[in-house]
Amino acid sequence: MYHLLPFLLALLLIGCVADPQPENRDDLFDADRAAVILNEGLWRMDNASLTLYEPESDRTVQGWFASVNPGERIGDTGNGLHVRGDRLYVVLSESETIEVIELPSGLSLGRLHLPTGCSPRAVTFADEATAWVSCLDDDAVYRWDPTRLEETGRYGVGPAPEGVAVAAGRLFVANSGLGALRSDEEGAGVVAVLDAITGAPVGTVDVGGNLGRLWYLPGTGYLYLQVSATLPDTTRGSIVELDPVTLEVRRRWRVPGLWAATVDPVATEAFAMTHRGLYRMDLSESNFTNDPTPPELLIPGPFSTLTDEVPHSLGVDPVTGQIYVGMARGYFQAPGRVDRYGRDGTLLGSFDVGLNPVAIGFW
Amino acid sequence: MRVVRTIAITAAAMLLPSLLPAQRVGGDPVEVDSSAVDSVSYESGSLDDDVVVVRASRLRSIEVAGARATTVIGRELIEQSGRTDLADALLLSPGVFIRRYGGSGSLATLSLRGTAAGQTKILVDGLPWRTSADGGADLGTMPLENVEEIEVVRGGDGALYGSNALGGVVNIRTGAQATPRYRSTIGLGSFGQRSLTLSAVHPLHPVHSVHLHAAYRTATNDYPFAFHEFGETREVRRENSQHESFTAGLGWRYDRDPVSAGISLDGFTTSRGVPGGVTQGNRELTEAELSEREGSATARVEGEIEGILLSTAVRLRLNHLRYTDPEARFAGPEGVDNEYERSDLLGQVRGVWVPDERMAIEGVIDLDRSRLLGENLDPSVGGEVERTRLGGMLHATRYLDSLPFVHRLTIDGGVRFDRFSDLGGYLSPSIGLVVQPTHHPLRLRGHVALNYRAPTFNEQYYLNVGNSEIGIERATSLTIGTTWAPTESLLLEGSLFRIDTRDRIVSIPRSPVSWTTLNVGRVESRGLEIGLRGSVLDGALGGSLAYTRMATIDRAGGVTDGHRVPYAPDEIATVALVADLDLVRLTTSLEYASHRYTLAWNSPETALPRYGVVDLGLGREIVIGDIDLLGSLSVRNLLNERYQIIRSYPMPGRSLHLTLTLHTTRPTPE
Repeated sequence: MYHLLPFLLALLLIGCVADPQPENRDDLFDADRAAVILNEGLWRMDNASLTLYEPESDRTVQGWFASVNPGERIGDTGNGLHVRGDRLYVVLSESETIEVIELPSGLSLGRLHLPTGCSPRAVTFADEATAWVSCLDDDAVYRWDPTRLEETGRYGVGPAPEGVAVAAGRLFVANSGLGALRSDEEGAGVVAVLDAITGAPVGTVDVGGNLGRLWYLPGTGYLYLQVSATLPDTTRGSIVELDPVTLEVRRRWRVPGLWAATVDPVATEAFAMTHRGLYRMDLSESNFTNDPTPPELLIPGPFSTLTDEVPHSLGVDPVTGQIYVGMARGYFQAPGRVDRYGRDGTLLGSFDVGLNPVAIGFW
Repeated sequence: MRVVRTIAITAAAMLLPSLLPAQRVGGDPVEVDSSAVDSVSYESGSLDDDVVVVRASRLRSIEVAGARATTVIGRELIEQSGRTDLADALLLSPGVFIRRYGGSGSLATLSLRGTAAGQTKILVDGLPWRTSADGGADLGTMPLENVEEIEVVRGGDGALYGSNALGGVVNIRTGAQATPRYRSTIGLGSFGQRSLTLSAVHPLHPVHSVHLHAAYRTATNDYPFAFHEFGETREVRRENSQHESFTAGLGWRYDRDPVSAGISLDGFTTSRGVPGGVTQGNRELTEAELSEREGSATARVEGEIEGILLSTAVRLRLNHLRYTDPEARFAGPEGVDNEYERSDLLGQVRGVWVPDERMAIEGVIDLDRSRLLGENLDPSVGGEVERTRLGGMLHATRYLDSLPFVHRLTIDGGVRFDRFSDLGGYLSPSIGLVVQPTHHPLRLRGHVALNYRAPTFNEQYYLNVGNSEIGIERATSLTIGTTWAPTESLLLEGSLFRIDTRDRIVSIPRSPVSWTTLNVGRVESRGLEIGLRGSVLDGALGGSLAYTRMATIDRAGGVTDGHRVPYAPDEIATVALVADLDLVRLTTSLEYASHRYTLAWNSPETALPRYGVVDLGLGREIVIGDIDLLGSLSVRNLLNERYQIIRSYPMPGRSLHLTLTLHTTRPTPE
């Protein structure tokens, strides 16, 4: 029977590696003015998160949503966020939800579950009871009621709708065609225009290229559209100004290799990131030709996409005017960082965020 | 004796790398005793003073004489430990972790010593199951029914096996090599599991025999599982996890001393759902399907000329694979519908020369040509890619005995050169030592090898990911260990290992929407393996244990340097116990793995917790004349453990399986 001894001794080895325990969470605080960073996480890994950052105190709360709402996760694959009054709307493509969060508490107020196969990308609002969401994989936008968190209609718009914005009583939807993947399909590279309340078709604007985010600036009265490069072809990319009334392209700033952009509604400027650096464009310039002043190189690159640090999002603090650059790290496998720059391109500071900061909002 | 002789020649040709060190000094080249194949005794592989007898019994689990850390899992051990598929059976070896994506028939890949699936070479009857261009094997599609023996060589060995043998080698021996027998099995189980298998090796004549096998397997796999969604725990059933497969083979063998020859025709067809993960209540890929059919023809001739054992083999394989996902609208209104045609032709000539009783030399020349036609290849290659490889290997083993302070010393060295049409040429050397200090059956061994892996076609040419400029991965593998057989019924093995993989091929993003492959990774894997096989009470109680404690660490130098590689647990163990009672045989096993990080950044939130799955089985064997009737009832996951091996891919809970096997043998006609 002594033969059993080595067997029994070996059995004692099993289970000697303990599971890692969650680290202590950051202390929660209420911030009257803050930045919130949506960390995309990884596709189908269910690990999107929110980071709260208070500029005044330089404090952060990682995993803000999970900390304020114990036992819950924000969801799978963050795509976009939208701040509207005391509400924060977070769009999650794989969870196929829009999470509604109270500001500044961070409490979950509920969520809109979208139909399977929607893959929501971005939201915009027509009025208090009418909102829209673009559905990347459904070639459609859905109208929904933010007061009741109910979907109220589906409207086909074209291949892979991404950016949405409301202006002049119309809904504008940018169909990316997923870059090169569906660029040959009818409606790719086109901005579809619908009535912002009824969803009735109004028209289209054929811009061409890999259309992305869309903003409306009340200060100029125009829409601004991000047209990204379709890598590895880095010769394309631009910021396009659209007239929401005439449905005409007014101006186009060429930014070859563009892959991230944002606008500053206060200063009426746009910022765009390429592998060469961060560019600034003056949107208020009264130049109505198709040859506007070239973008200014504010922060020289290179920002290579083959390193383990890649710029992944841009935001502008509406109060300080500071430019926030969200950096994905570790080949998109490690927690990211946000770098803060002054308007002269000086690096002012950095703070840690979650996995792949994809959108930055402020209140 | 003829049977033994035939098996000896065949085994020498097919399993030579492991058998060479086991040759008798001063006797026949190799003695292989297959008499214990169907016995119920718990004999151990013996480690005599003058001869190592390689037995085919269930307890010939650890190669006792070679420089390599080797575990052999025989048919009996597979059946008596309740293993139902190939991936399950491999867990009986130390160093093995199976990354399963679901229940029966689902995607399952092998990780040996922390390496990736494509970094272990899989052979079937001595020939590569896939070429270097194909990548990691899906064990979920490999039938177990026709497998007679699985040999797991742990540690890199490119010198003997060429590309992909970074973590080790799995050599599967099928029924084509078995003695005459007839077997039929019917299986029923939970979640729609049904199986019917037939296999036979039938002697037509003293020198001719035919072998055939056929297996049908199906399952709905609609098992319930619980998940946490928006603060609530819900239970739903797995969707789109069904599978259906049919495998068949037919062959002929000719054995007339000193020549043997054979032809085999094999094929399979499978159709299965490819379910995605379950995240926040969403069940992804509910309509994606993968269907595959494959046919292969293999011809072999083996013989002895002027004292040299010669064997040649040629195999042609054709494979068709189709993946559909109507929900994948990113690819267009109809979704994804991709088809791939793969073909490869492989030829091998092997010679074994034993110039004297203290030395053996083996040489191999082999050639393979791989071709892939399909969609989603880089437009620059026009939908078709090819690769040709020509390789040669020289391997020698030298025995030294009557040395001062050492009873016996074995030196084992090999070198291999492969030249690829698209990658250039690569040299893979290895050297091993086995020291037996005294007559006592205790051996110390060490093995070091420089290995490589050629990139797959996908890594080179897949649309928006492939990079035709990438080169090979290189790895240095070191194993030192000991093997001890203190009694006839106990075998212990321990190994320390280290694998340093450089220029690892990884996919990295070059933009938010496109990725590329580059040789920028580096991974170090190191650890301890313990293997135990034994029996007590005159064989009435037997068991095996495979335990591995290891660390697989990112050494690429980035922000994740020093972190654990995803899905490589620090601790793996499989324990199997078999008790032969008066009326029934009772089997139980435990499969355990410690936590696995799911991301290169090892925060606690990215870890999946450890799991332990207990199986329990009852078997009863009735002998009626020449026919053995074996019935077994097993409960898988007895304690209904809720676990995931891969994040968002729930595994089945408790399930029942009933198996009835009819088995008989008959002697070779005189």
